[in-house]
Amino acid sequence: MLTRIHVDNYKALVNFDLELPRRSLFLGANGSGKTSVFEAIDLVRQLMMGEGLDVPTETLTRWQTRDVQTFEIDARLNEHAYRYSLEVIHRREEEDCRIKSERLLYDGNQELFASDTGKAQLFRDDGSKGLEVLADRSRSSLPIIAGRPDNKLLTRFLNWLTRDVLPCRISPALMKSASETDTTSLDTDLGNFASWWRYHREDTRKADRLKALLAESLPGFLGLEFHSVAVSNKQKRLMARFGDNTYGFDELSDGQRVLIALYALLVHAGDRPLTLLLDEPDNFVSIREIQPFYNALESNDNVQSALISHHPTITNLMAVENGLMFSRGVNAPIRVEPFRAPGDVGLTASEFIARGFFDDLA
Amino acid sequence: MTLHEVSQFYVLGEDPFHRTFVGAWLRANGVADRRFVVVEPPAGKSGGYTFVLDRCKIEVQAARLRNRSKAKTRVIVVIDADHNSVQERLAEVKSAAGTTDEDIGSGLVCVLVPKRHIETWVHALGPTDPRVDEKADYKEKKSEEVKTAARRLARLPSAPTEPPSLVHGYSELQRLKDS
Repeated sequence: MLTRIHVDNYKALVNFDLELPRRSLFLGANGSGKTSVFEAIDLVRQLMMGEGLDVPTETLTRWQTRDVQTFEIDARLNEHAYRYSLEVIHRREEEDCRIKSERLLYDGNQELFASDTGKAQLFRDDGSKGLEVLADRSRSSLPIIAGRPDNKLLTRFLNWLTRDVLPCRISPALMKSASETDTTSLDTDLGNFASWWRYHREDTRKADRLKALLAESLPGFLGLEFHSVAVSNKQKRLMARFGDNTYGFDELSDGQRVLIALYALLVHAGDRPLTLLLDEPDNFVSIREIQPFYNALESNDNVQSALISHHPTITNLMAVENGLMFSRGVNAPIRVEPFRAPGDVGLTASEFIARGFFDDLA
Repeated sequence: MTLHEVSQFYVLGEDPFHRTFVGAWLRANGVADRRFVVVEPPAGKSGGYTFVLDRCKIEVQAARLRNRSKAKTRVIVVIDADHNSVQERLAEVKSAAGTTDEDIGSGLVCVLVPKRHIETWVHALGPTDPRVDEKADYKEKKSEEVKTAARRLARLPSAPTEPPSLVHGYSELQRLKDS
Protein backbone atom coordinates (compact mmCIF):
# COMPACT_ATOMS: atom_id res chain seq x y z
CA MET A 1 0.00 0.00 0.00
CA LEU A 2 1.19 3.47 -0.86
CA THR A 3 1.44 5.26 2.45
CA ARG A 4 3.06 8.60 1.70
CA ILE A 5 4.23 10.84 -1.10
CA HIS A 6 6.64 13.71 -0.70
CA VAL A 7 7.38 16.07 -3.57
CA ASP A 8 9.41 19.24 -3.65
CA ASN A 9 9.96 21.83 -6.39
CA TYR A 10 7.71 20.05 -8.90
CA LYS A 11 4.95 22.17 -10.45
CA ALA A 12 3.11 23.76 -7.50
CA LEU A 13 4.18 21.03 -5.11
CA VAL A 14 6.68 22.60 -2.74
CA ASN A 15 7.81 20.58 0.26
CA PHE A 16 4.54 18.76 -0.23
CA ASP A 17 3.86 15.84 2.03
CA LEU A 18 0.77 13.66 1.93
CA GLU A 19 -0.04 10.49 3.81
CA LEU A 20 -2.40 8.23 1.95
CA PRO A 21 -4.89 6.03 3.78
CA ARG A 22 -6.72 3.09 2.18
CA ARG A 23 -9.38 5.38 0.77
CA SER A 24 -9.03 9.00 -0.20
CA LEU A 25 -10.89 11.48 -2.33
CA PHE A 26 -9.00 14.45 -3.68
CA LEU A 27 -11.27 17.49 -3.78
CA GLY A 28 -10.59 21.03 -4.81
CA ALA A 29 -10.90 23.64 -7.50
CA ASN A 30 -9.55 23.19 -11.00
CA GLY A 31 -5.83 23.82 -10.91
CA SER A 32 -5.50 23.11 -7.19
CA GLY A 33 -2.88 20.42 -7.84
CA LYS A 34 -4.75 17.16 -7.44
CA THR A 35 -3.57 15.68 -10.71
CA SER A 36 0.01 16.87 -10.11
CA VAL A 37 0.25 14.43 -7.20
CA PHE A 38 -0.73 11.52 -9.43
CA GLU A 39 1.69 12.75 -12.09
CA ALA A 40 4.54 12.81 -9.60
CA ILE A 41 3.80 9.23 -8.59
CA ASP A 42 3.57 8.20 -12.23
CA LEU A 43 6.87 9.92 -12.98
CA VAL A 44 8.64 7.70 -10.46
CA ARG A 45 6.70 4.68 -11.65
CA GLN A 46 7.73 5.25 -15.26
CA LEU A 47 11.33 5.50 -14.15
CA MET A 48 11.02 2.19 -12.33
CA MET A 49 9.63 0.65 -15.49
CA GLY A 50 12.90 1.44 -17.23
CA GLU A 51 11.83 4.59 -19.05
CA GLY A 52 14.35 7.37 -19.43
CA LEU A 53 14.11 10.35 -17.11
CA ASP A 54 11.57 12.70 -18.63
CA VAL A 55 11.03 15.71 -16.40
CA PRO A 56 10.76 18.90 -18.44
CA THR A 57 12.41 22.02 -17.07
CA GLU A 58 8.99 23.68 -16.99
CA THR A 59 8.03 21.34 -14.17
CA LEU A 60 10.36 23.20 -11.81
CA THR A 61 8.25 25.31 -9.50
CA ARG A 62 8.06 28.71 -11.20
CA TRP A 63 8.65 30.83 -8.15
CA GLN A 64 11.56 28.74 -6.88
CA THR A 65 15.15 29.22 -8.00
CA ARG A 66 16.40 25.82 -6.85
CA ASP A 67 17.40 23.33 -9.54
CA VAL A 68 16.78 20.11 -7.62
CA GLN A 69 13.46 18.33 -7.44
CA THR A 70 12.74 15.69 -4.82
CA PHE A 71 10.34 12.78 -4.99
CA GLU A 72 9.74 10.27 -2.22
CA ILE A 73 7.38 7.35 -2.17
CA ASP A 74 6.67 5.36 0.97
CA ALA A 75 5.00 1.99 0.85
CA ARG A 76 4.03 -0.72 3.26
CA LEU A 77 4.33 -4.16 1.73
CA ASN A 78 3.97 -7.39 3.67
CA GLU A 79 4.06 -5.39 6.90
CA HIS A 80 7.39 -3.79 6.00
CA ALA A 81 8.14 -0.18 5.22
CA TYR A 82 9.89 0.94 2.04
CA ARG A 83 11.02 4.42 1.10
CA TYR A 84 12.22 5.30 -2.36
CA SER A 85 13.84 8.74 -2.77
CA LEU A 86 14.80 10.42 -5.99
CA GLU A 87 16.55 13.72 -6.59
CA VAL A 88 16.50 15.21 -10.07
CA ILE A 89 18.86 18.04 -10.93
CA HIS A 90 18.05 20.40 -13.78
CA ARG A 91 20.34 22.43 -16.01
CA ARG A 92 18.04 25.24 -16.96
CA GLU A 93 20.18 26.63 -19.77
CA GLU A 94 20.37 23.27 -21.53
CA GLU A 95 16.77 22.37 -20.63
CA ASP A 96 18.18 19.09 -19.45
CA CYS A 97 17.91 17.04 -16.28
CA ARG A 98 19.68 14.11 -14.66
CA ILE A 99 19.29 11.90 -11.66
CA LYS A 100 21.21 13.40 -8.78
CA SER A 101 20.56 10.61 -6.35
CA GLU A 102 18.38 7.60 -5.70
CA ARG A 103 17.89 5.57 -2.59
CA LEU A 104 15.68 2.70 -1.55
CA LEU A 105 15.37 2.05 2.18
CA TYR A 106 13.76 -0.86 3.96
CA ASP A 107 12.22 -0.71 7.43
CA GLY A 108 13.72 2.62 8.30
CA ASN A 109 17.39 2.67 7.46
CA GLN A 110 18.41 -0.59 5.81
CA GLU A 111 19.65 0.34 2.36
CA LEU A 112 18.57 -1.78 -0.59
CA PHE A 113 19.89 0.56 -3.25
CA ALA A 114 21.85 3.81 -3.30
CA SER A 115 23.13 5.90 -6.15
CA ASP A 116 24.56 9.39 -5.82
CA THR A 117 28.08 9.64 -7.16
CA GLY A 118 27.68 8.21 -10.61
CA LYS A 119 27.78 4.73 -9.14
CA ALA A 120 24.90 2.56 -8.06
CA GLN A 121 25.36 0.32 -5.05
CA LEU A 122 23.12 -2.67 -4.55
CA PHE A 123 22.62 -4.29 -1.17
CA ARG A 124 21.52 -7.82 -0.52
CA ASP A 125 18.47 -8.57 1.60
CA ASP A 126 20.74 -9.30 4.56
CA GLY A 127 22.19 -5.78 4.34
CA SER A 128 25.57 -6.74 2.90
CA LYS A 129 26.96 -4.89 -0.09
CA GLY A 130 26.23 -6.43 -3.45
CA LEU A 131 27.04 -5.38 -6.95
CA GLU A 132 28.31 -1.88 -7.70
CA VAL A 133 27.67 -0.58 -11.19
CA LEU A 134 28.15 2.68 -13.08
CA ALA A 135 24.94 4.63 -13.00
CA ASP A 136 23.40 6.07 -16.13
CA ARG A 137 22.08 9.35 -14.80
CA SER A 138 19.42 9.62 -17.48
CA ARG A 139 17.58 6.57 -16.15
CA SER A 140 17.34 4.57 -12.97
CA SER A 141 19.57 1.54 -12.49
CA LEU A 142 16.92 -0.19 -10.38
CA PRO A 143 14.78 -1.69 -13.15
CA ILE A 144 17.74 -3.37 -14.85
CA ILE A 145 18.55 -5.38 -11.76
CA ALA A 146 17.61 -8.99 -12.28
CA GLY A 147 15.65 -10.66 -9.51
CA ARG A 148 17.78 -13.03 -7.47
CA PRO A 149 17.25 -14.97 -4.26
CA ASP A 150 19.31 -12.41 -2.34
CA ASN A 151 17.49 -9.27 -3.52
CA LYS A 152 13.86 -10.24 -3.13
CA LEU A 153 13.08 -7.13 -1.09
CA LEU A 154 14.21 -4.80 -3.83
CA THR A 155 12.35 -6.65 -6.57
CA ARG A 156 9.26 -6.83 -4.37
CA PHE A 157 9.19 -3.03 -4.27
CA LEU A 158 9.86 -2.72 -7.99
CA ASN A 159 7.12 -5.16 -8.90
CA TRP A 160 4.68 -3.41 -6.61
CA LEU A 161 5.32 0.04 -8.02
CA THR A 162 5.36 -0.98 -11.66
CA ARG A 163 2.52 -3.49 -11.65
CA ASP A 164 0.30 -2.81 -8.68
CA VAL A 165 0.20 0.96 -8.61
CA LEU A 166 -2.04 2.09 -11.41
CA PRO A 167 -2.47 5.79 -12.07
CA CYS A 168 -5.40 6.05 -14.45
CA ARG A 169 -6.63 9.05 -16.31
CA ILE A 170 -8.87 7.23 -18.72
CA SER A 171 -9.16 8.62 -22.23
CA PRO A 172 -11.69 6.42 -23.99
CA ALA A 173 -10.93 7.98 -27.37
CA LEU A 174 -7.41 6.54 -27.11
CA MET A 175 -8.56 3.04 -26.16
CA LYS A 176 -8.17 1.14 -29.40
CA SER A 177 -9.25 -2.37 -30.32
CA ALA A 178 -5.97 -3.33 -31.95
CA SER A 179 -3.35 -5.16 -29.94
CA GLU A 180 0.07 -6.14 -31.27
CA THR A 181 1.19 -7.98 -28.17
CA ASP A 182 0.26 -8.52 -24.56
CA THR A 183 1.61 -6.44 -21.70
CA THR A 184 1.54 -6.36 -17.93
CA SER A 185 1.81 -2.60 -17.70
CA LEU A 186 -1.17 -0.39 -18.26
CA ASP A 187 -0.72 3.07 -19.76
CA THR A 188 -2.04 5.92 -17.65
CA ASP A 189 -4.60 6.85 -20.30
CA LEU A 190 -5.47 3.15 -20.75
CA GLY A 191 -4.67 3.50 -24.44
CA ASN A 192 -3.17 -0.01 -24.33
CA PHE A 193 -6.09 -1.52 -22.45
CA ALA A 194 -6.56 -4.13 -25.23
CA SER A 195 -2.98 -5.37 -24.87
CA TRP A 196 -3.21 -5.33 -21.09
CA TRP A 197 -6.41 -7.33 -21.07
CA ARG A 198 -4.86 -9.67 -23.65
CA TYR A 199 -2.30 -10.62 -21.05
CA HIS A 200 -5.13 -11.68 -18.73
CA ARG A 201 -7.34 -13.29 -21.34
CA GLU A 202 -6.53 -16.89 -20.44
CA ASP A 203 -7.75 -16.35 -16.90
CA THR A 204 -11.34 -17.51 -17.19
CA ARG A 205 -12.10 -16.48 -13.61
CA LYS A 206 -11.37 -12.88 -14.51
CA ALA A 207 -13.48 -13.08 -17.64
CA ASP A 208 -16.39 -14.57 -15.72
CA ARG A 209 -16.08 -12.01 -12.97
CA LEU A 210 -16.02 -9.14 -15.43
CA LYS A 211 -19.09 -10.49 -17.17
CA ALA A 212 -20.91 -10.85 -13.85
CA LEU A 213 -19.97 -7.37 -12.64
CA LEU A 214 -21.14 -5.74 -15.86
CA ALA A 215 -24.27 -7.85 -16.39
CA GLU A 216 -26.61 -5.15 -15.20
CA SER A 217 -24.64 -2.09 -16.23
CA LEU A 218 -24.26 -3.27 -19.82
CA PRO A 219 -27.33 -5.37 -20.63
CA GLY A 220 -26.48 -8.30 -22.88
CA PHE A 221 -22.73 -8.03 -22.29
CA LEU A 222 -21.20 -11.49 -22.41
CA GLY A 223 -17.56 -10.62 -22.18
CA LEU A 224 -14.44 -9.55 -24.04
CA GLU A 225 -12.77 -11.70 -26.66
CA PHE A 226 -9.92 -11.38 -29.12
CA HIS A 227 -10.25 -11.93 -32.86
CA SER A 228 -7.27 -12.51 -35.11
CA VAL A 229 -6.66 -9.97 -37.79
CA ALA A 230 -6.46 -11.74 -41.17
CA VAL A 231 -3.02 -10.54 -42.22
CA SER A 232 -1.32 -11.36 -38.97
CA ASN A 233 -1.92 -13.88 -36.27
CA LYS A 234 0.04 -11.70 -33.91
CA GLN A 235 -2.25 -8.73 -34.15
CA LYS A 236 -5.53 -9.21 -32.38
CA ARG A 237 -8.64 -7.14 -32.14
CA LEU A 238 -10.43 -6.71 -28.84
CA MET A 239 -14.13 -7.33 -29.25
CA ALA A 240 -17.06 -7.04 -26.87
CA ARG A 241 -19.76 -9.67 -27.17
CA PHE A 242 -23.36 -8.61 -26.71
CA GLY A 243 -25.70 -11.54 -27.27
CA ASP A 244 -25.03 -13.08 -30.68
CA ASN A 245 -23.04 -10.13 -31.97
CA THR A 246 -19.56 -8.82 -31.35
CA TYR A 247 -18.45 -5.21 -31.59
CA GLY A 248 -14.97 -3.79 -31.88
CA PHE A 249 -13.95 -2.29 -28.54
CA ASP A 250 -13.51 1.05 -30.28
CA GLU A 251 -17.05 0.81 -31.61
CA LEU A 252 -18.43 1.02 -28.08
CA SER A 253 -19.43 4.34 -26.62
CA ASP A 254 -16.93 6.26 -24.51
CA GLY A 255 -18.95 5.47 -21.40
CA GLN A 256 -19.11 1.75 -22.18
CA ARG A 257 -15.35 1.60 -22.69
CA VAL A 258 -14.69 3.39 -19.42
CA LEU A 259 -17.10 1.16 -17.51
CA ILE A 260 -15.49 -2.00 -18.87
CA ALA A 261 -12.03 -0.68 -18.03
CA LEU A 262 -13.00 0.35 -14.50
CA TYR A 263 -14.52 -3.02 -13.71
CA ALA A 264 -11.58 -4.80 -15.37
CA LEU A 265 -9.31 -3.01 -12.89
CA LEU A 266 -11.44 -4.25 -10.01
CA VAL A 267 -11.38 -7.76 -11.43
CA HIS A 268 -7.61 -7.52 -11.70
CA ALA A 269 -7.49 -6.56 -8.03
CA GLY A 270 -9.08 -9.91 -7.22
CA ASP A 271 -5.66 -11.48 -7.72
CA ARG A 272 -3.37 -9.00 -6.06
CA PRO A 273 -3.65 -5.88 -3.94
CA LEU A 274 -3.75 -2.81 -6.14
CA THR A 275 -3.35 0.88 -5.57
CA LEU A 276 -5.68 2.64 -7.97
CA LEU A 277 -5.13 6.32 -8.54
CA LEU A 278 -8.22 7.25 -10.49
CA ASP A 279 -8.34 10.71 -11.99
CA GLU A 280 -11.99 11.53 -12.56
CA PRO A 281 -13.14 7.96 -13.24
CA ASP A 282 -16.72 9.23 -13.35
CA ASN A 283 -16.14 11.10 -16.58
CA PHE A 284 -18.21 9.62 -19.41
CA VAL A 285 -20.05 7.29 -17.04
CA SER A 286 -23.81 7.72 -16.71
CA ILE A 287 -25.18 8.91 -13.39
CA ARG A 288 -26.89 5.56 -12.92
CA GLU A 289 -23.54 3.76 -12.91
CA ILE A 290 -21.61 6.03 -10.55
CA GLN A 291 -22.82 4.60 -7.28
CA PRO A 292 -22.67 0.93 -8.31
CA PHE A 293 -19.03 1.42 -9.28
CA TYR A 294 -18.31 3.25 -6.06
CA ASN A 295 -19.95 0.41 -4.11
CA ALA A 296 -17.88 -2.19 -5.96
CA LEU A 297 -14.70 -0.21 -5.35
CA GLU A 298 -15.50 0.38 -1.70
CA SER A 299 -16.25 -3.27 -1.03
CA ASN A 300 -13.03 -4.51 -2.64
CA ASP A 301 -10.59 -4.98 0.22
CA ASN A 302 -7.77 -5.65 -2.20
CA VAL A 303 -7.86 -2.11 -3.50
CA GLN A 304 -6.32 1.01 -2.08
CA SER A 305 -7.96 3.87 -3.89
CA ALA A 306 -7.25 7.54 -4.31
CA LEU A 307 -9.84 9.28 -6.42
CA ILE A 308 -10.00 12.69 -7.97
CA SER A 309 -13.60 13.59 -8.57
CA HIS A 310 -15.90 16.53 -8.95
CA HIS A 311 -18.98 14.34 -9.13
CA PRO A 312 -21.60 15.20 -6.49
CA THR A 313 -22.42 11.55 -5.80
CA ILE A 314 -18.81 10.55 -5.22
CA THR A 315 -18.23 13.71 -3.22
CA ASN A 316 -21.24 13.15 -0.99
CA LEU A 317 -20.40 9.52 -0.40
CA MET A 318 -16.70 9.97 0.34
CA ALA A 319 -15.87 13.50 1.40
CA VAL A 320 -16.79 13.35 5.07
CA GLU A 321 -14.67 10.29 5.83
CA ASN A 322 -12.08 10.31 3.06
CA GLY A 323 -12.03 13.82 1.59
CA LEU A 324 -8.79 15.75 1.18
CA MET A 325 -9.30 19.36 0.22
CA PHE A 326 -6.66 20.77 -2.14
CA SER A 327 -6.14 24.48 -2.50
CA ARG A 328 -3.58 26.93 -3.77
CA GLY A 329 -3.29 30.61 -4.38
CA VAL A 330 -1.77 32.31 -7.40
CA ASN A 331 1.92 31.37 -7.61
CA ALA A 332 1.63 29.65 -4.25
CA PRO A 333 2.19 26.07 -3.16
CA ILE A 334 -0.49 23.46 -2.92
CA ARG A 335 -2.03 22.85 0.47
CA VAL A 336 -4.09 19.89 1.58
CA GLU A 337 -6.31 19.49 4.57
CA PRO A 338 -8.98 16.99 5.50
CA PHE A 339 -12.47 17.88 4.36
CA ARG A 340 -14.48 19.28 7.20
CA ALA A 341 -18.12 20.21 6.81
CA PRO A 342 -18.31 23.92 7.70
CA GLY A 343 -21.42 23.33 9.76
CA ASP A 344 -24.44 21.16 10.32
CA VAL A 345 -27.13 22.93 8.35
CA GLY A 346 -28.42 20.15 6.11
CA LEU A 347 -26.20 20.74 3.08
CA THR A 348 -24.41 17.83 1.44
CA ALA A 349 -20.64 17.94 0.96
CA SER A 350 -21.01 18.77 -2.73
CA GLU A 351 -23.50 21.54 -1.89
CA PHE A 352 -21.02 23.09 0.54
CA ILE A 353 -18.40 23.05 -2.21
CA ALA A 354 -20.79 24.37 -4.85
CA ARG A 355 -21.80 27.22 -2.55
CA GLY A 356 -18.21 28.34 -2.29
CA PHE A 357 -17.60 27.45 1.35
CA PHE A 358 -14.06 26.38 0.48
CA ASP A 359 -13.23 29.24 -1.85
CA ASP A 360 -11.32 30.98 0.91
CA LEU A 361 -8.93 28.12 1.64
CA ALA A 362 -6.25 29.20 -0.81
CA MET B 1 -23.57 46.89 1.02
CA THR B 2 -24.27 46.68 -2.69
CA LEU B 3 -24.91 43.66 -4.84
CA HIS B 4 -21.28 43.72 -5.90
CA GLU B 5 -20.14 43.17 -2.34
CA VAL B 6 -22.18 39.99 -2.04
CA SER B 7 -20.08 36.87 -2.61
CA GLN B 8 -22.93 34.59 -3.42
CA PHE B 9 -26.67 34.48 -3.90
CA TYR B 10 -28.65 31.31 -3.32
CA VAL B 11 -31.67 31.26 -5.59
CA LEU B 12 -34.54 29.11 -4.41
CA GLY B 13 -37.57 28.98 -6.65
CA GLU B 14 -40.58 26.81 -7.32
CA ASP B 15 -40.12 26.36 -11.02
CA PRO B 16 -37.70 27.07 -13.89
CA PHE B 17 -39.26 30.47 -14.63
CA HIS B 18 -38.63 31.62 -11.07
CA ARG B 19 -34.98 30.75 -11.42
CA THR B 20 -34.77 32.26 -14.90
CA PHE B 21 -36.35 35.48 -13.66
CA VAL B 22 -33.98 35.92 -10.71
CA GLY B 23 -30.94 34.93 -12.77
CA ALA B 24 -31.77 37.50 -15.44
CA TRP B 25 -32.39 40.18 -12.81
CA LEU B 26 -29.05 39.47 -11.13
CA ARG B 27 -27.19 39.50 -14.45
CA ALA B 28 -28.88 42.76 -15.39
CA ASN B 29 -27.49 44.17 -12.15
CA GLY B 30 -23.98 43.08 -13.05
CA VAL B 31 -23.83 39.91 -10.98
CA ALA B 32 -21.69 37.29 -12.73
CA ASP B 33 -23.01 33.78 -13.27
CA ARG B 34 -20.46 32.33 -10.89
CA ARG B 35 -21.86 34.38 -8.04
CA PHE B 36 -25.22 32.74 -7.82
CA VAL B 37 -26.16 29.19 -7.05
CA VAL B 38 -29.52 27.89 -8.12
CA VAL B 39 -30.78 25.40 -5.58
CA GLU B 40 -31.43 22.24 -7.56
CA PRO B 41 -35.09 21.28 -7.51
CA PRO B 42 -36.70 17.83 -7.34
CA ALA B 43 -37.87 16.34 -10.63
CA GLY B 44 -41.59 16.22 -9.92
CA LYS B 45 -43.73 18.95 -11.45
CA SER B 46 -46.03 19.48 -8.50
CA GLY B 47 -43.50 19.65 -5.69
CA GLY B 48 -42.27 23.21 -6.16
CA TYR B 49 -44.22 24.89 -3.39
CA THR B 50 -43.41 22.18 -0.86
CA PHE B 51 -39.79 22.11 -2.01
CA VAL B 52 -39.32 25.83 -1.43
CA LEU B 53 -40.81 25.69 2.05
CA ASP B 54 -38.86 22.56 2.96
CA ARG B 55 -35.60 23.88 1.60
CA CYS B 56 -35.60 27.51 2.65
CA LYS B 57 -34.58 26.72 6.23
CA ILE B 58 -31.45 24.91 5.00
CA GLU B 59 -30.52 27.72 2.64
CA VAL B 60 -31.03 30.42 5.28
CA GLN B 61 -28.93 28.48 7.77
CA ALA B 62 -26.23 27.95 5.13
CA ALA B 63 -26.21 31.66 4.34
CA ARG B 64 -25.92 32.54 8.01
CA LEU B 65 -23.03 30.09 8.33
CA ARG B 66 -21.28 31.51 5.28
CA ASN B 67 -21.79 35.05 6.54
CA ARG B 68 -19.67 34.25 9.56
CA SER B 69 -16.68 34.44 7.24
CA LYS B 70 -16.04 37.42 5.04
CA ALA B 71 -18.19 35.92 2.32
CA LYS B 72 -21.48 37.77 2.31
CA THR B 73 -24.34 35.61 1.18
CA ARG B 74 -27.95 36.35 0.36
CA VAL B 75 -30.91 34.05 -0.21
CA ILE B 76 -33.52 34.93 -2.81
CA VAL B 77 -36.71 32.93 -2.44
CA VAL B 78 -39.45 32.98 -5.07
CA ILE B 79 -42.79 31.41 -4.33
CA ASP B 80 -46.09 32.01 -6.11
CA ALA B 81 -48.97 33.36 -4.07
CA ASP B 82 -51.43 31.46 -6.26
CA HIS B 83 -54.86 32.09 -4.69
CA ASN B 84 -53.43 33.14 -1.34
CA SER B 85 -52.39 36.61 -0.35
CA VAL B 86 -48.80 37.81 -0.54
CA GLN B 87 -48.75 38.31 3.23
CA GLU B 88 -49.93 34.76 3.82
CA ARG B 89 -47.13 33.37 1.67
CA LEU B 90 -44.56 35.63 3.33
CA ALA B 91 -45.68 34.35 6.71
CA GLU B 92 -45.38 30.77 5.52
CA VAL B 93 -41.83 31.32 4.27
CA LYS B 94 -40.82 33.15 7.43
CA SER B 95 -42.15 30.34 9.57
CA ALA B 96 -40.63 27.58 7.45
CA ALA B 97 -37.25 29.26 7.15
CA GLY B 98 -37.10 30.36 10.76
CA THR B 99 -36.12 33.85 9.66
CA THR B 100 -35.93 36.63 12.17
CA ASP B 101 -36.64 40.32 11.75
CA GLU B 102 -32.87 40.76 11.80
CA ASP B 103 -32.53 38.41 8.82
CA ILE B 104 -35.08 40.45 6.93
CA GLY B 105 -33.62 43.78 7.99
CA SER B 106 -30.07 42.76 7.14
CA GLY B 107 -31.13 41.65 3.69
CA LEU B 108 -30.10 38.06 4.36
CA VAL B 109 -33.35 36.84 2.85
CA CYS B 110 -35.30 38.37 0.02
CA VAL B 111 -38.70 36.81 -0.62
CA LEU B 112 -40.51 37.45 -3.87
CA VAL B 113 -44.17 36.45 -4.00
CA PRO B 114 -45.69 36.97 -7.43
CA LYS B 115 -49.46 36.87 -7.45
CA ARG B 116 -50.91 34.85 -9.06
CA HIS B 117 -47.65 33.56 -10.49
CA ILE B 118 -44.41 34.81 -12.03
CA GLU B 119 -46.10 34.98 -15.43
CA THR B 120 -48.34 37.68 -13.97
CA TRP B 121 -45.23 39.81 -13.41
CA VAL B 122 -43.92 38.95 -16.85
CA HIS B 123 -47.16 40.18 -18.32
CA ALA B 124 -47.14 43.31 -16.16
CA LEU B 125 -43.58 44.10 -17.21
CA GLY B 126 -44.34 43.40 -20.85
CA PRO B 127 -44.38 45.93 -23.65
CA THR B 128 -48.16 46.31 -23.59
CA ASP B 129 -50.62 47.55 -20.99
CA PRO B 130 -49.08 46.79 -17.56
CA ARG B 131 -52.43 46.37 -15.89
CA VAL B 132 -53.02 42.78 -14.88
CA ASP B 133 -55.52 40.76 -12.95
CA GLU B 134 -53.67 38.94 -10.16
CA LYS B 135 -56.38 36.28 -10.16
CA ALA B 136 -56.06 35.51 -13.86
CA ASP B 137 -53.90 32.80 -15.34
CA TYR B 138 -51.05 34.19 -17.47
CA LYS B 139 -49.28 30.92 -18.20
CA GLU B 140 -47.96 30.22 -21.72
CA LYS B 141 -45.03 32.60 -21.41
CA LYS B 142 -41.69 31.80 -22.99
CA SER B 143 -38.32 31.80 -21.28
CA GLU B 144 -37.14 34.77 -23.38
CA GLU B 145 -40.14 36.81 -22.23
CA VAL B 146 -39.29 35.98 -18.61
CA LYS B 147 -35.71 37.17 -19.07
CA THR B 148 -36.81 40.34 -20.84
CA ALA B 149 -39.27 41.14 -18.06
CA ALA B 150 -36.60 40.62 -15.39
CA ARG B 151 -34.19 42.93 -17.24
CA ARG B 152 -36.92 45.52 -17.55
CA LEU B 153 -37.62 45.30 -13.83
CA ALA B 154 -33.90 45.82 -13.13
CA ARG B 155 -33.91 48.99 -15.23
CA LEU B 156 -37.17 50.57 -14.13
CA PRO B 157 -36.50 54.24 -13.43
CA SER B 158 -38.95 54.21 -10.55
CA ALA B 159 -40.99 51.77 -8.54
CA PRO B 160 -43.94 50.16 -10.29
CA THR B 161 -47.38 51.09 -9.10
CA GLU B 162 -49.12 47.83 -9.86
CA PRO B 163 -49.81 45.00 -9.45
CA PRO B 164 -49.42 44.99 -5.65
CA SER B 165 -47.30 41.80 -5.53
CA LEU B 166 -44.83 43.33 -7.99
CA VAL B 167 -44.72 46.53 -5.97
CA HIS B 168 -43.81 44.44 -2.94
CA GLY B 169 -41.29 42.40 -4.93
CA TYR B 170 -39.63 45.54 -6.28
CA SER B 171 -39.22 46.89 -2.76
CA GLU B 172 -37.72 43.56 -1.64
CA LEU B 173 -35.19 43.69 -4.46
CA GLN B 174 -34.38 47.31 -3.67
CA ARG B 175 -33.80 46.30 -0.06
CA LEU B 176 -31.49 43.55 -1.31
CA LYS B 177 -29.55 46.11 -3.31
CA ASP B 178 -29.35 48.60 -0.48
CA SER B 179 -28.83 46.32 2.50
